[in-house]
Amino acid sequence: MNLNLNEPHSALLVTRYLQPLLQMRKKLFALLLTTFLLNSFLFAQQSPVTGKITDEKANPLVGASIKISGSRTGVLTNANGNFSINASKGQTLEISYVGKADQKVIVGDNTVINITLSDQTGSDLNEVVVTGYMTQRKADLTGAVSVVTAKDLSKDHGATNVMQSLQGVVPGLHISTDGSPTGNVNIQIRGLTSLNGSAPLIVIDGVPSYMNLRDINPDDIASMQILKDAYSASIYGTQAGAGVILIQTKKGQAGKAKISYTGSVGFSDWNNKPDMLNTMQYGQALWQAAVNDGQDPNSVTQIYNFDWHKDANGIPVLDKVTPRPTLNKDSSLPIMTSANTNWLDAISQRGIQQDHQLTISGGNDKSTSLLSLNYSENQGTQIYTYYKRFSARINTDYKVINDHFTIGENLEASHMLINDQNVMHDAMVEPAIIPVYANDGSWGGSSVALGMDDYWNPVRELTLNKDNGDKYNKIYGDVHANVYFLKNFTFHSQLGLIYTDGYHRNIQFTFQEAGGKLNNISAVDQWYWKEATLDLTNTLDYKINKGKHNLDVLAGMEANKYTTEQFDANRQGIQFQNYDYAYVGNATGNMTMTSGADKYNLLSYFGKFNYAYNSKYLLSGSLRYDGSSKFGANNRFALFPALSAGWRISQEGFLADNNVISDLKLRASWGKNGSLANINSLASQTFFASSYNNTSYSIGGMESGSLPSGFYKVQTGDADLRWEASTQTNIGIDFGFLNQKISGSLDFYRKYTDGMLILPPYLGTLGEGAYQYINAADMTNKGVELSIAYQGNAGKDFSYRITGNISYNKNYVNNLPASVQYSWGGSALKGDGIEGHPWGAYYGFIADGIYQNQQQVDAGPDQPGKGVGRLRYKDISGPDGKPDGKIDYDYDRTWIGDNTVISNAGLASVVPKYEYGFSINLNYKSFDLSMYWQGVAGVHEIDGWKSYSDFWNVWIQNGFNHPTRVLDAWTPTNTSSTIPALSLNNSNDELRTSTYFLEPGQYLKLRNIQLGYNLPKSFSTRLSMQKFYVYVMAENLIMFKSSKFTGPDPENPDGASYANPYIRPQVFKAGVEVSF
Amino acid sequence: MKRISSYLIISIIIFSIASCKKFLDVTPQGVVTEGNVTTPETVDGLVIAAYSWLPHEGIINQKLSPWLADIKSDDSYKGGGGIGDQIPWYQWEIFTQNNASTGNNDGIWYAEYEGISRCNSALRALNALDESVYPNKTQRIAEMKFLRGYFFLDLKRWYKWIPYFDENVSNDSIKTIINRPDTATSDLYLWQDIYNDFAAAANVLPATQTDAGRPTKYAAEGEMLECLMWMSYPQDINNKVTGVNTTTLSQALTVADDIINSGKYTLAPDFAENFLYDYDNKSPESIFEWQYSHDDGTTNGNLNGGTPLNAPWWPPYFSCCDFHKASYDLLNAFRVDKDGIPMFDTFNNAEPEYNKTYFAMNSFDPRIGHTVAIPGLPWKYQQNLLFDSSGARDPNNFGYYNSLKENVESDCPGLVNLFWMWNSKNEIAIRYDRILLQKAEILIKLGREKEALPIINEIRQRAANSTDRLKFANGTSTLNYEISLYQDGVNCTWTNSFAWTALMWEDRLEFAMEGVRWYDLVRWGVAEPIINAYFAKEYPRGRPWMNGAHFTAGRDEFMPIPQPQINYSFGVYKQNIGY
Repeated sequence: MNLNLNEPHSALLVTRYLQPLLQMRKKLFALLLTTFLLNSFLFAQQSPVTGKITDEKANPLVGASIKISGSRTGVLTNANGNFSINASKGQTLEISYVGKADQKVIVGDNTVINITLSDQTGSDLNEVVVTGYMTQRKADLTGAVSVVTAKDLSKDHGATNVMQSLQGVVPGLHISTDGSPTGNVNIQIRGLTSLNGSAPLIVIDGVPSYMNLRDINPDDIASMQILKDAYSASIYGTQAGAGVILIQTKKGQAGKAKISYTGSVGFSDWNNKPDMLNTMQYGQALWQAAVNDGQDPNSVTQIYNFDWHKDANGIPVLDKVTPRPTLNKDSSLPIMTSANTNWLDAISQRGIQQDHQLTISGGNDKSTSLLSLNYSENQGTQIYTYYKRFSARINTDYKVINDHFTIGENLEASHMLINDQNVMHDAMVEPAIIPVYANDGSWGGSSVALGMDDYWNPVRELTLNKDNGDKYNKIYGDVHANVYFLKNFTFHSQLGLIYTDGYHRNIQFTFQEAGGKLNNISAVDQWYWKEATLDLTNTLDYKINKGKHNLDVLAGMEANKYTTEQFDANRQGIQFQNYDYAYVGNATGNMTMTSGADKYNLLSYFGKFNYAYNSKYLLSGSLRYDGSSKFGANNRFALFPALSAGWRISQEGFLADNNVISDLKLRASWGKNGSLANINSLASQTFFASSYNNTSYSIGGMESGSLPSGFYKVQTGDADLRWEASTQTNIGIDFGFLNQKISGSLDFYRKYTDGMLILPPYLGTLGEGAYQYINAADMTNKGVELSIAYQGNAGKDFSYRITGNISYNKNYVNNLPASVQYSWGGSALKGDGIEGHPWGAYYGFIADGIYQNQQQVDAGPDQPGKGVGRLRYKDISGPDGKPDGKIDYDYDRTWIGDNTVISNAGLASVVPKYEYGFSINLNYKSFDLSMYWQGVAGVHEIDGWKSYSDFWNVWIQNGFNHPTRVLDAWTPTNTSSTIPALSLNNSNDELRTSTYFLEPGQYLKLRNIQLGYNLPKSFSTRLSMQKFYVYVMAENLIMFKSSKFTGPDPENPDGASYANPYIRPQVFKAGVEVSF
Repeated sequence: MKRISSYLIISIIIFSIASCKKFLDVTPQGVVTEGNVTTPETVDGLVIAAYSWLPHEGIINQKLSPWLADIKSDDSYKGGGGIGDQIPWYQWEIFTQNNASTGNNDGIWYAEYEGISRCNSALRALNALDESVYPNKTQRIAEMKFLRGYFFLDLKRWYKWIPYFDENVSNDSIKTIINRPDTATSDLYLWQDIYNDFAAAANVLPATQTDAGRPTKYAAEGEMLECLMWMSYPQDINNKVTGVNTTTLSQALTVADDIINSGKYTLAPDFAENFLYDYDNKSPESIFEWQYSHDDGTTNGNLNGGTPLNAPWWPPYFSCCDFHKASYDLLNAFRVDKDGIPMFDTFNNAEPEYNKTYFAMNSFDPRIGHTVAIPGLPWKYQQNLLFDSSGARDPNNFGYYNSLKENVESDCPGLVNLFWMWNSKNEIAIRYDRILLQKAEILIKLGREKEALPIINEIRQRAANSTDRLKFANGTSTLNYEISLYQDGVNCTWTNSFAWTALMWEDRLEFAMEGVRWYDLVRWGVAEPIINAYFAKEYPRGRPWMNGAHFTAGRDEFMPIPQPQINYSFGVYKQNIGY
């Protein structure tokens, strides 16, 4: 007979309920009942088993859980680590404790069982992994799932966004960040899944959403699972196309109440701040630009006076730069003495960071609870910018009705304050000669009357807006209940809520800069926004172990409801510009109001099974039937199947006795997922909007007052609009050697997204509102992921663990419909659309060096503005398919991104082909040292910094300040320079997308280094402490990049015009972890 | 057990409730269906939306504001903060860099057709309503046809070969409409389509409207006249004017006379009244004007989106952006000889550099004072505010002379400073002086130049009378203003040829910087010689960016069909000749 027959307690449970159940005569359960009846025949003799659970250093573990396998009978260890449980011989005890590897012990003759639990490691095969509505042993997983534990996360103490800590930790999970104090991240799991974005689904304690992880407290996270392949993710159906991130928050542990405090304090500093021209250097570069253009330098500026002459060869030579002493045209404005301002320093601060977390947890075998309070503050590297978050969490669980019914809740409430102004562009371009303050202390600024262009004083901007900002409140969590019945069944019901609201009341201050720039319109803006997701999930789970068969089946439904509303009122004319007065109702001028709302629902039915034979052959499948209100009436529902299989080769007899291979598993999975993120809830509808701003007209000839208004068409619908679906195949191997001393996994995947929803541009004659979503382009991602870990020790005082991962991904667009063939680059006249190239690939000119002399210029292709010292562009083609001796946009651009050979740069790729990370953890007695490195390779990117650093004037405005690189530009005497000659005009149109801006973007960064010290137990217990740990750490301490990358940080190339590049700062912190 | 079974039952109930597929029937928030907006009660909302399209058309790369045509003419430089500031406009201005992919081109095409689609949406809804439930049906249809014609006319003058369709053509059919059939030898059929809309409107519209913003019969006739003026100079496939069609001209004369003989319109006593905020809907020569408003509940007002870049770079009065600068050529064109008539042949022999000598040494037609802002002179008739050379943003490239007509006084209530300088001054789209000069043009082309003389002199007399506002605070004249009437045998010999020259000159001065000059040059078939002569003379005057500028006949008369439209049409559209 099978093992279950020897489980008296569960048999007892069954018999207790058997009679009424039988009376119910439920045909549905008739077959299953046979099993239960069999179970009820045998009653084995039980006796108390006692023992003590300790850690490796023989410290008692309080609140460790001891459970009889296959039953719900369990106890917890007391304050001394002791336990007592009624069990019979042959039964298996499962012992678990947070942070320790689970153990199983079969009850033998000895009724005293003492157990030592060792620290959990990533490679622990008995670790239970949450896989979406179910859990599974890691050993039985057949999908590609990466697990991140709280320990991994705690490395980035006080990170604003938990995803920042995961950068490079999980193979196939691409995360890019910037320097904003709010911790902006961009997440992609296995490449870009859809043109509509690749936001992975975030499931926190079972509640799905696409929430911004900035809003949640990383210190409350117990573990995260990254579901990468289609099988793992497809149980989330339409929401899972871009992968799923499961997050479990920390729960209370039974046992003595435990109070712990973790805290860190530190600061962030701007990394790799570019050197900008000072006042004299600016004059020198301006002079150079003017003489290059053959203009009299003294006629092009009223700010500088130049003494210069021409040498014997007729080459201009600068003798002396004399800046104007004051920057006023007349005395109508405050006097501004010429300065030498380093604007980047002027806007910078050393941003203080702090994080404090207090956690109180405890409970008994009937209930557990956890309460945590957290305050996190992250000041930006620009003055007055910050992110602050207060959060509180209460998680509780109750067992009621003799373990047959549990009920609990998880709840976090947080309040956030954000001022994330970013004035980088303004600070970069403001010439150094302008003072921050005029002589009388009022704001300095661009002297417009002296011909300066309209730069804003960035210090003035940051300062005036220091109390403007957004505030958010978030409440999210769930109530859940489990009903255990008929021994093998669990009914689970959960109602989740994610509620966020946002608010600001911002003042637009009037000001006058001493150079003439001003704003004389005061205004107050009051904005309210809220969104809520309600999610109801019901599942029925059936688990059975019979002989070598192990089956877990689940069926369920989920209903998800999203609503949002916002309201914004702005009114000009506030008589008193302070926050105590400035409310919309107190303003007197022009008032505008906007509002918006959105709703959509999702309804799903799903089923899933995991089957294992002898823990050797594994088979899993899932099916999800999803309907969304976003889609056309004809295609509202879609089916998403997935299947996976595994073979634990290491369990086979022929490997049983070897000492080398401790684990070897072959996995394969296939499945289909949908993609719902970022798809407009009105995508399939034809609709008109009534917009006063957009349709009002003073038909009666009134100069002001209320106007008649009407309606305009916004979009054309399509009832056949359907889901975009991604199909993914994954083959993987998990391996472990030398008793898991070495472990890792290797995965190959191919992900194909079909019928991506796009809103193509259309023929102009179709007029307004002809926008119509279509299912069109397809996209493919292929990749390989490898992760490997090695741990060992040298003597009992020194242990180490080294982990590393590397992933490769290739992305390309296929099957573009004709209507969008050239929407993302490419020329219809050449017939070279983006198809076959990666999404985001650059289409541009090939910069072919600098014209050195007039002969070369004459010989070069026709190009308006070409000249000596200017960039030469390559004549690629012409109307006849051959180079036609002239440069034009239609024929001489090509894909300068992925896989195209480009001049001087080899093979380019616009997204990193390779991403890797490795960490080293060393423990010596009470000390530990860890290092975490992360890098990308195989990428070329448009380096937007170059438009600042390599040209005098390619922007719309004139006379920007520049990084000092411009001083190395080409001149008749500096012909080896690769930077084109400075010019007052951009007559050669050099800002055009070209390989000139394309630079290798690989980097390797020391993301985190940390040195910690654990106060020995003997000391800490004397202070009634369980733990006392102190550490110092640094982030982004070291960066390696290509010498060909000319900007400060290839992680933030910021290619867009007038971008505000924001470099991720260096952070230094010290912290403490104490628990009582 | 009861408990468990009750849970089961509850869960089954939850299942069945949620399985109700009505859960997915979510009503879209904040929007309405086509059915909602085509009822007798709501159709006015589609009509007003069509009117509002032009004010909301956007800016820079979407709006075909009249002044953009000046960039291509000899009246004006692009201006702004250097060549790089709106490169596409620079590319248009020098022609040689203009091509189908040039920026700021596709947006205009797209936006004009958006306006047309608003008219057609309204027309479809109006056609479907019964007059008994919607008594304004006929009137509103006529208004929509007027607006549709207006937008098509803009497109036609700018691109020449455009797809034309009315409200009855389905979207699928619109995609198949060819802009230039291979068999086409002339574009007159397109002009006829546009003309027909105006003619249909003129048939129905009243002579007077209660709402100042609605077109009258004479507004529609003014646009009929504009169409006929183009149709009178037929062009061949290479944009070459092949002659003058006197039949069409005669037809045009009838239309012009109908407007003139209505007696509804007179020239404003002072030319300035056509360009002042205070005279919105008050100028006696305004036949149709676009209504702009401020403090009207919209975010910043329904302001003129075409001109916010055109104020000088002159804080604290105006912050931005110094576009639309008068050329030296234009300043010289205002010079008059000792007899007070234009210096037709020698006008451009002076150098209007910014110095007092040039202005002291010369006499000018008074209209220069209404058209061009000159440092040292009052800004827009504001005697207490002298314009200043510091208002020039990039004098090395674009000189010191700003455009005045579209700008407003620094203290104008309709001025909205959003760094860009927006204003709510109305824009007169059809003006009586234009009708008069068109009539004069017709008469000259019909060989009746003697009848044209009094008309031209009427225009000149009004200009002569318009100097009251052109004074310093102390009452002295801001420049030496001189203007005489043409007196045959006294200061001229009024031959047909002279009359034609005088007419062309009069048109330039009367409508300088109003976006009229460019279309006149193309319509008359004289763009090539005039523009190339302008480049040759202007380039050495410190306009380095004119290097390489050249007008190519047979191409540059019209803009290229935007490349994206060629692409999206999949071979249906033919690119304009020469591009």
